[in-house]
Parts: sequence; structure tokens; C-alpha cells
Amino acid sequence: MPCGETVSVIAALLFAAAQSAPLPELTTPQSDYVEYCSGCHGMQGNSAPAEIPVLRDRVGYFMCTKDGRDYLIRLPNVAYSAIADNQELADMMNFVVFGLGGASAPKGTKPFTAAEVKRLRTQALGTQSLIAARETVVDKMILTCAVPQSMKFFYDGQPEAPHY
Amino acid sequence: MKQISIDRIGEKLVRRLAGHTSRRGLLSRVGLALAAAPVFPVLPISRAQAQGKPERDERARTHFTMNAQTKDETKCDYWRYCGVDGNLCACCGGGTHQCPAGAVASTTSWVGTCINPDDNKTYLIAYRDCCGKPACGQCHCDNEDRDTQLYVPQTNNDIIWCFGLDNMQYHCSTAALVGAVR
Repeated sequence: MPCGETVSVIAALLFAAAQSAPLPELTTPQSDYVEYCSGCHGMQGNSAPAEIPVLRDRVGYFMCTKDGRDYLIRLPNVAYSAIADNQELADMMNFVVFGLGGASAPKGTKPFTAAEVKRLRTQALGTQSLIAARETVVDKMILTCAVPQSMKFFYDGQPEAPHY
Repeated sequence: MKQISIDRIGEKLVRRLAGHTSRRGLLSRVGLALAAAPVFPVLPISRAQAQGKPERDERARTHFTMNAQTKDETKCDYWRYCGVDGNLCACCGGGTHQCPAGAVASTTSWVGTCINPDDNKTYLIAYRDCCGKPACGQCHCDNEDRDTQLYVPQTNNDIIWCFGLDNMQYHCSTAALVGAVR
């Protein structure tokens, strides 16, 4: 299923549920996203104005640097995820980056592989401030790629940059 | 009269065993069993993972699911409430998809996986809290399917999920159907 279509399926979910139309069937990556991520990040990757990073049309920017790409897997909720299977976790993160992230992932970005996920899970960002780690990664992204300044914020129009 | 001697029977058995087995034979058999054990996975968990992706279905088959009903959504054993912790909005003037008048649905929620006993399919359920009004206090339920310990807070249901709203006062919990697991 093409990524755009995947996102629109998710977008239709709650509306469809409220209308008691036939429920959409979710693939494993979509089910994993809904169960383990969407509670905070939103069914469509957007739960603004909650102070939670918006994924929709933004998360793909992280793929433009190696640090950024690694950061997505090293995040504790990803690295320590209840999803034990590395391929399954890679599939879910590819849905997040290419499905929810849409055009924000640079052209030609290679998807995550099980081997890459396996290696990065052992380097989880366990003890440092995640906001500080994110700031370092985002600053480098803005310097080296065509990434909008608004990535310093959790969502476009957030009144204040996240601080620690 | 012939006496039955347990000692004699024991001795006979042991002698027969000793006569028919060798220590090396035993060792080789134990070794073979050890080497072959991983080929026959016995634990249900490894079986579930080995078969591909039925893990979500397997783990959702809980005590709650086996006793759940599909008729009355104001009872704690209604099938969609397998992971709910709080007051049911269905008892507070709302419903499984609707907040009661005056309460606001949170933008964040706890998400659970429940089996509908009518069709035996697995569904993803969002326990979206309704907030901004004093706690409703009716129909308190605490079901714990797929709930994790408090130190894994993102999948713990003791937390009040009213983040992102102006007023974080908890009122009640809905149980919205999000989708069916393929």
C-alpha cells in the first residue's frame, strides 16, 4: 500500500469508528504504531498542542543525518520497545518515517533494516536529557540539510522551544 | 510362603538396568537430548513468536477475554474494557465513543488490544480520557490486559491521560474502536 494511502487510512480511523462504518483493517506496522506510539503521538502522528513531537510530515527530516537516523532508534521508547522482533520494529519505524513523515524523508532515504535496529537498540539514550540530545541532533540537521528551523520545536507554532 | 522383599525387587531392577545399559550409552543419549532440545520448542511463547505474527492475538487471550460479554457497555466485563482503568463514560452520561456533556476528550490516550468474543477478532481500542470536569465516580473498573508496570509509563494505564488539555482534571474513560488487527 502506498504511504500516502496508509496515512489516509489512519486519518479515517476515528471518523470511521464514530460513524460505525466498517472498521479499517490494520497491518502489523500500523497496529504496532497505534498500540505503542499513537497514544501520545496521535493516530495521525499529530497530537499538538500537547508537548509531544509531531511526527506527521516532520519525522522524516531526522533521516538526513546519520545522527538523526540513529537518534530515532536510540530513543528509549523505541530501543526499549515491547516489540522484541527487530524486523517488526524496523517495519514500524519505516511506517513512521515514510508513512507519517511523508515528503519530509529526503529522496533516496534507505529504510531501516533489522540489523541496523538490532545494533542501535544496544545504544539507547538511557541516561542523558532527551531534549538536549534532540537539540544537538536538530541543530546539526539544520546546518547540513534543508530542514526548517521549526524542527527546533515539537510542532509548528509551538509558543516556546522545549527546554530542560 | 514366598515373601515379597522390596530389597530383592530393587536389587533385581538395578542389576537389570546395570546389565543392559552402559555409562557411555547413557551419556550419548543425554547429549543427544541436549543437542536436539532447541529443535522442539515447547514453551507457548516461543511457538507464538516462531509462527510469524500471532503474538498480538495470543497475548490478548486472557482471563478477561474468556469471561467478557458484548451486550452491556456499562459493565466492567464488556469486551472493549480489557485494559481500562477508571470510570466508564457510558455510566457518566457519555458512551464508549463519546464524552459526557461538558467534558473534553484528551488528545492523548492509552491504547489497548482486546478480542471480541463474538467474532474472535483482535481490535485496537483507545481509552481516551474525558477531562475538565470533576471525576464522575460511577462504574469504576480496573482491567489490566497489556498494562505495564508504572516504570514503563507509556503503556501503563494508572496514569491519567489528560495531557495537552487546558484542564487536566480527570472525568471518565471512553473505549473507542480504532481498527481491527489484520
